Amino acid sequence: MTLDNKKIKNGREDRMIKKLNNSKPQNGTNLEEDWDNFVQEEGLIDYNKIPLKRAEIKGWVKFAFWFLRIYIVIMIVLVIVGFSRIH
Amino acid sequence: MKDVKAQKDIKNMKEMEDIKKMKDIKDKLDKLPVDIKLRAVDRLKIHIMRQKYGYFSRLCLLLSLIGPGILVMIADNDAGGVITYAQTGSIFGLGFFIPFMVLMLPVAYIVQEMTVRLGAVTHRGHAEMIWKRYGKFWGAFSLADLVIANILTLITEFIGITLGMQFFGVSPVVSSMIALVVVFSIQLFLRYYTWEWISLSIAALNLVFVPLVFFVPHLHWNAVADSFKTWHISGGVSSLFIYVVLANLGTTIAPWMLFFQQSSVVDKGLTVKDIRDGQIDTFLGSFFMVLVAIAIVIITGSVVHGVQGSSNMSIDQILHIISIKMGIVPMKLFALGLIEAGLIATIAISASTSWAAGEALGWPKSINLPPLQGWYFYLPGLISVLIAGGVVLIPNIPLGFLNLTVQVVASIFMPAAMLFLLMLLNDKEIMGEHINKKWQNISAFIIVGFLIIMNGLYGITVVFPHMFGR
Repeated sequence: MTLDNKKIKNGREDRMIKKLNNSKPQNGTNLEEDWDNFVQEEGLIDYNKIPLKRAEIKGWVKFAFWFLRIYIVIMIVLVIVGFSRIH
Repeated sequence: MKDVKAQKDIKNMKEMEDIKKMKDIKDKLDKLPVDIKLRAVDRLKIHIMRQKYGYFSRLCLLLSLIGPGILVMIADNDAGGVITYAQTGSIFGLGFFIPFMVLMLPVAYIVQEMTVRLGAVTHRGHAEMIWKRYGKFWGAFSLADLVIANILTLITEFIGITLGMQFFGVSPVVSSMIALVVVFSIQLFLRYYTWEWISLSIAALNLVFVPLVFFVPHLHWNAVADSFKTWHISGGVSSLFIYVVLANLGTTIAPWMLFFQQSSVVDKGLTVKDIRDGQIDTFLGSFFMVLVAIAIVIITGSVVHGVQGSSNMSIDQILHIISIKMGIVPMKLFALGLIEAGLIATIAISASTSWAAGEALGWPKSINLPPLQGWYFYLPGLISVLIAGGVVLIPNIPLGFLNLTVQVVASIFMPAAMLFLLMLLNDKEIMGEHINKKWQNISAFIIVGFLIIMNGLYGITVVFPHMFGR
């Protein structure tokens, strides 16, 4: 038991667990029983493993993409012209 | 006697039960990957704080949740920003640019607040969202642009650091080396919780410009107050004036800021419950950013403006005049502010590069990763810092050309980054109830539209400097 006590006393992680144990939940959340819910709610998941669906390009988003393409092309042409004038 | 023994037994049993509970949670934490485990510990703290009621507890909770917003805004007052504000004041004095800076507060807030919501709702960074929602082409385009713009911006930060250190008698080689060691140590050896607090402590030094205002001899506070009434433009509207307006707008919102704050919100572990605090954090950051910018404009507008050649002064010359008119100590404090501005921006920009690369390429991406385990996460950011720290030491390097290229790359990239932000914030599938409201969309579209036009104009004026006349 002494060894366990020592283990629990060290580090930020252990301090936090101790605090958690001493705090009295007022909103009814009990982490020991509701750990999975806590993990889910706090986003403590590896999101790399959860696929994200590709967006459907329609409506004003389609227009925005065309604006972007045209803007980028115009800017690149202007930059090339401008830089070639500098040198 | 029996009672005492029984009480002791009950106490022991309770203790044992407590230890078992603690061990249970510890075991559950140990099952998580190391970066997520450290974030879980931080979130446990927030969870405990949420159990308490009262104003003091609420304040403590807010203090624990703030960070990304203040950090991004203060880092935006980078070396290039400090130089731009100083030159703005020395060219135009106390007038138009003081109220103009106040207008930058809602501009910065409205754009950056969207990254808080997006990060808190999706738990994914900006680069990852673009890559996965809009495909590899736009993802790669955004990442490549960000990395190039960040490396070039980092060079300007190192210019600021080495320049500021010269006023303390430190050679560029030594100051570049010191900056490299500091940034490498902060990125590699601190985990998110301490990384944020150390970064915020460095960022606090940015406020050094505010008390300096009170060292300005014979400062006319009336002139400062009048500027809000008159919006007076010294010398009238000219091509130089338009250029300076565009330069100041360009320093208010930079592409890396969108990526940085969203990734920072994700790495800190903010959730939908913390959006309110994230918004307060962003507002506080915007306020400090504007406060510092106004302080610099007031200092140089009062001390340097009107001196012969003030419309075309380098930062060395501005500091020289400050030392003559205000004294050596205020000049050194100004130089210290310049060093700090470069340093905090280097930390933030290199972190944004690492996060963006990790997000786009699907690597584990967290400052909570120990260096040996997550070396590939830190590598892109640290390589970019190394390049910048080395490039700045090359003799006769065309710094003006580099600065120009930074602005051009940013002006091409900025509309793309902001449009993606708006598209994502209007994407009900991922944002749910946190989608942009009507008034948020109207203000965001006006600001983003205005910034796109101004950014485009700025990009064009840097390559065609006489477009608006001489």
